[in-house]
Amino acid sequence: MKTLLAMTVVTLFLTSCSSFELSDANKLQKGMTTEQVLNTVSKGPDNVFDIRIPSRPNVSYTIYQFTLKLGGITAEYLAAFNDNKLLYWGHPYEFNRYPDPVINEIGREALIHAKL
Amino acid sequence: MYQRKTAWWGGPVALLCLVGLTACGPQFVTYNSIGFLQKGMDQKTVHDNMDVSSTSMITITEQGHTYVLEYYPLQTAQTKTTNTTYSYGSFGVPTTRTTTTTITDHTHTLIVMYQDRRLRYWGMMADYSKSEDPEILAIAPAVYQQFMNH
Repeated sequence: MKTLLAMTVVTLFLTSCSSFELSDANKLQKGMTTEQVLNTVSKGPDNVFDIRIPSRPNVSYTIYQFTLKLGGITAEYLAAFNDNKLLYWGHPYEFNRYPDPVINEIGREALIHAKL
Repeated sequence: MYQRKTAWWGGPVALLCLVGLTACGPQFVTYNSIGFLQKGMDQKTVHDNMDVSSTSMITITEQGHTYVLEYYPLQTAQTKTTNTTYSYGSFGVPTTRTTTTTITDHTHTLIVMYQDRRLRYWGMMADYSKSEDPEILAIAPAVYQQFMNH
């Protein structure tokens, strides 16, 4: 019982101290499932939501909104999934400049729904 | 007829406020603040929405196209250092302790590129050099040359 309590306290402590950093972003790979992403990163997303984009209204995209910690500052960081597969991830400005217009649209739509 | 009088100190106070506001205003753009940028935006919309003005504007011609490059300072990190100094009185007994915290913003150059006054691409130099966009990748060496000569 004492061991379980101690483990819970340690887990809570470690979770509260961890943050999503560039090293986490670098571990992500295209095609990863949401479960794989959650198992890979140090800290999970602050916000998870589904979006649809005007050019593909029948397709749903799941967005994970992370807070990226960068040496004293933080920045919004998004991961977009389609069919439970990681499609693209990055800062919102990276979504917007990508050559594929679908990624641009996902970035625009995600920013509308994101908690900023 | 009522005539509004302006206090003699109105001018200096206004000037002081202006100086204060300028000093406290942003000195760089951030990852979050450039989220509004979208391909095809006109140059004026970009200027109106950026936190700061560009530090340089350069025109390059490459493969028959003319591109305008603008440089902006982009905050990429912030570090905090704390220094503590002690003053000692007689017999070497510390009397006062002064702690100074210095916050340093680290910036890198964000290169914003227009073609025909429309936003074409933006990012740091490495983003151009490894761009997924073949056209950007093709002109990256010319952008690099300008960037290194800057």
